[in-house]
Amino acid sequence: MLNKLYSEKESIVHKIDVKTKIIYTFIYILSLGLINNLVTLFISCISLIFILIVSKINLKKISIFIKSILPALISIAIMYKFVLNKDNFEILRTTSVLIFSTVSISCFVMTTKVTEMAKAIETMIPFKTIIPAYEISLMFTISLRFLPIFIKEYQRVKKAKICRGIYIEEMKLKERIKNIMGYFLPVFMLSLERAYNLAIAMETKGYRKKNRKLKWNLKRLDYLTFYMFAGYLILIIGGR
Amino acid sequence: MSISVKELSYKGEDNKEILKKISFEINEGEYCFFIGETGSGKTTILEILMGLLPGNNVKIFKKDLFNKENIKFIQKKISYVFQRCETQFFQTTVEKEIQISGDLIKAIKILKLLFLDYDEIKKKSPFELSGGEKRKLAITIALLKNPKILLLDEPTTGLDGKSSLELLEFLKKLNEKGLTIIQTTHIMEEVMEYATKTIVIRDGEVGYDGKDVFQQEKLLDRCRLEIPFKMRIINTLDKKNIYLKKNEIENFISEKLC
Repeated sequence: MLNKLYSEKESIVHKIDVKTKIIYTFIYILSLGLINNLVTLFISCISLIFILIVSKINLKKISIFIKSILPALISIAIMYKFVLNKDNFEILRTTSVLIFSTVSISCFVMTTKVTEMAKAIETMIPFKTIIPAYEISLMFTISLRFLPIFIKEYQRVKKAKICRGIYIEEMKLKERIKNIMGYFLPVFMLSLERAYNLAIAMETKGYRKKNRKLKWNLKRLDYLTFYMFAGYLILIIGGR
Repeated sequence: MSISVKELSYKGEDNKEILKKISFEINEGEYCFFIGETGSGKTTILEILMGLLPGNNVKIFKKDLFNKENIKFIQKKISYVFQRCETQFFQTTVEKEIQISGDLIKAIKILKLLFLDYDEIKKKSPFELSGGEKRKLAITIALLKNPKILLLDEPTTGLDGKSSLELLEFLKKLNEKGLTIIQTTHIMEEVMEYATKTIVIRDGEVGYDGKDVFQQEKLLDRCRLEIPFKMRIINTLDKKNIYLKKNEIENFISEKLC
């Protein structure tokens, strides 16, 4: 799924080291908490638009992410306005923070390959002698690989239900909840079977833990972007 | 007429054209085989006929399948057994699986005809069964719906020779009783023995639609389908004006050899 979202482009954002990209995204999301007036909101918005333009990614794809959080945004706005009686700026701030975080994460996902992401996570995990960093990154990659399979299996089970004359949309809420088990059981049984087969396949191919020493190895471009990012942080703190 | 499809097109993921304006008709009580290369669009056709994928111009029992008022009525009269039939099980035991599907006595009878002992498997999880047992159970459950049309996606995949034969003979008997069966396969021997109609799908188009598919040697070759040995001999003898039926061919060969 994430691999499908990744778009191959020649841009500075694509070239930046994944580890630094993870840190920037994380700090950017934290910095959104510093927004307390229109100036800081404007700075965060402009810097995000700048990153989107520089990364050359398809903005239509970004809209998919925003669409997925749209119901949450609307309900938050209604709740803030009518239940919590917050002012308009507060509503604008909260919804903007949610949109900016989603867009920044999607920008990161769309400019980073899953394999690179896993490798970066492994590198970034400290105390590798105590924490099984390699296993964690492997789990991360495999679980991402399994996500589309889960979705496909769910769709197949849904089709199978129709074949058996079970229409979930026609059921009452109580029956629906009862029937959910009928979805989980085959999906999990089939996924467990797949996981078991994958484990056997890895065993037969002689897949073993690699004793590799991963280094940060940051390039000149990464240090350059560091100064730009520091500039953004100074601006947002100054704007408060 | 059971099924009538006119200029059916279907685009899959990434806007890839899977079916390109295909048309065919299947009469009531026919044993129709869809054959073609892997990825030619056979399973897509079955899924559209079951109403699981969107389509157009499909009439089943003279009713438009994709009319909202008709779709559920038609789906209740059709049964479909997937190629990966284990996705069709939802319960923890075979017993429960059959209970939610229909009449237990009828199920036991069908399982017996398929050489499967109900008492032996009733407490087992359907996911635990062997490949052949799973398929037989899936077909039994499909038949409990009393369908008018049975759709089977490669039902003999993973079955040993004898089990395949038993299953196909059982299906033939059902077909003789009036059930319309539509099956996909790669095994040409099955087509030779049981088909009353064959439709060849090539790159999403109907390459051939008729009863005598084995005369289409070039098309079958292009579809990477091999003509069975028996049929090849019949075709060769035909060219020499010696006309033999399928069941006469063995005697003819043994006479010539001895």
